[in-house]
Amino acid sequence: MFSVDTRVKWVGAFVVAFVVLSIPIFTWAVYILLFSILVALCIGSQLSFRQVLKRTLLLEIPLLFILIPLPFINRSLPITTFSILGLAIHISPAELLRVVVLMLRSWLIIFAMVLFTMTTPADEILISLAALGLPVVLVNIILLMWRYLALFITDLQKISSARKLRSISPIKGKRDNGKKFIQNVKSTGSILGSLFVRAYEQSDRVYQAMLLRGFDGTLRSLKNEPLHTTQKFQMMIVLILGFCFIMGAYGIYGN
Amino acid sequence: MFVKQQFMHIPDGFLSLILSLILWVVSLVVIFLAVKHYAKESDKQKLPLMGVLAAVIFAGQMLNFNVVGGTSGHLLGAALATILVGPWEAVLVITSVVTVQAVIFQDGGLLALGANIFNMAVIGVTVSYAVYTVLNKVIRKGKWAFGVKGFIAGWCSIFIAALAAALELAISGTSPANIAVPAMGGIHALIGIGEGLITLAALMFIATTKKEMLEQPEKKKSIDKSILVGGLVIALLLAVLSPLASAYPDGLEKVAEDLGFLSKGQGPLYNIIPDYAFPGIHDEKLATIAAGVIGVVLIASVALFTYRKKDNSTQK
Repeated sequence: MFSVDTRVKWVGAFVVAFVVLSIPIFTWAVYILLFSILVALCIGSQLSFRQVLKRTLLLEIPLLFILIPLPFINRSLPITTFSILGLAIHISPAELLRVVVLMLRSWLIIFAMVLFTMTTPADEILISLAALGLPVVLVNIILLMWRYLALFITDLQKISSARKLRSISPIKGKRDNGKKFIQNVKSTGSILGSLFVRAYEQSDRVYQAMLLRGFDGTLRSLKNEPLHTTQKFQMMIVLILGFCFIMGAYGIYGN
Repeated sequence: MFVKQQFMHIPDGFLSLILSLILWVVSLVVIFLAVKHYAKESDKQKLPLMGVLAAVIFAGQMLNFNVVGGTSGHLLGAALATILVGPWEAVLVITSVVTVQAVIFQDGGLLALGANIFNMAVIGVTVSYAVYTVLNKVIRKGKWAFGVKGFIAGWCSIFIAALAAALELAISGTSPANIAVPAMGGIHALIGIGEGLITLAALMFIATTKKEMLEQPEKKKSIDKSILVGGLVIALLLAVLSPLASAYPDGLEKVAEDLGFLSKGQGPLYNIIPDYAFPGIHDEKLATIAAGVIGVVLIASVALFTYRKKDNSTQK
């Protein structure tokens, strides 16, 4: 995976997302097959499967919070009632199964994207956005943002530490919740305000430096080479595979 | 304590393929228009400013604040970006932030990126700009004016963007509208207060230390009509989707029904569009849509009339 061109990986990621979203929801065989391919790619790239799995599962946690209440509150499907410690719990098994499949679908796409980002340097991914047809202005903004992100995160951490050292920390006590929230938000706003002022001053220096280096609004990169025959062939294979998956899913499961 | 973070970045698998593709097309059209506007009117010096501003917003989104019941929220930044660099540039700034979050950090899906750009960059910026522009005519002077306008624009941007995300989930069949809309709307109404207060505090800080940053965009008196039209289109779209709303009674009606005092309520003296259903249309959904569209047009007309009157009086 490391040696594959970034543009081919982009096509691969989009194909995985497209296949997963376009096939019937309970297409277990296709999910298993896709997962097997992704795992094979992961092992073939000499990535730690455990590490990839950990990262993908961490990304799934917020999604769980959104979906988990659905089987308990959706009353439009048949409901089963059971009791835990004398408390009656109503749950819709059909909705629970749907939630599991939704999580699985989203996890498969996240897996593909994590595999992509773990085998490609970040700046290469961002530069390749221009090859996908994204406007040069937008790619320039993204690249500038990426370059200065570390700087502002360091600044942010320094200011946050200074804030903590000056004892602007959460106020203890139950009755202070409102005060705590206002104080927290107020100090966050001041930190951001100072970062914006720094950014404004920084941007002027950046522009002068860009002009001195001959900036004329166009994006130049050594990585903007035209696609070779091998890469075109790889893209074709990925697209054909995706098409086969969709056709196979509809062939097996109908609809 | 484990704190769950409320998010507006929709992952892949939550939206239907058709809706994802439609929102991709809409977002690409808006991005294309923003790029065109930048090429035509923006100062080239704005490019590094937009880049570093995007970096600051990205960094700012890492500052979480507690909301309620183990839930935290973070800054969206659409209102701040709109006020600092203008609406079209803000669309590009927020698009950059959302794109990097999705592509590098997998915060939000790849096919759902169009929807996320639509919610946060298009709706967030359009709503912020519309609210801020209208308030500019009402509240004009003083350091606090920037803050107050920023607070309201920030709150509205979060709330409307969250409602749009909830509607998209409902249209895709992921979560019924009567669950998704109140859940997303309720929590984001609170997160919106955080967003509004952060926007207020940041603008107050800038107004004190570097006022020219805020005055530059304000010098541009002509209002970008396309953004206002965009806001109107979004409002009309929401009106068209109104039949998706919950059919259950609202909070007060439910309490009145449960406690048995609903019958004590007196009917209105006259009915023009009773129960948000336009009279004379037999299809219930069509009647609701017609009532919603008429409401939006009426409110927009009143707002436009007030704005024009205020504008004329300030020009005199």
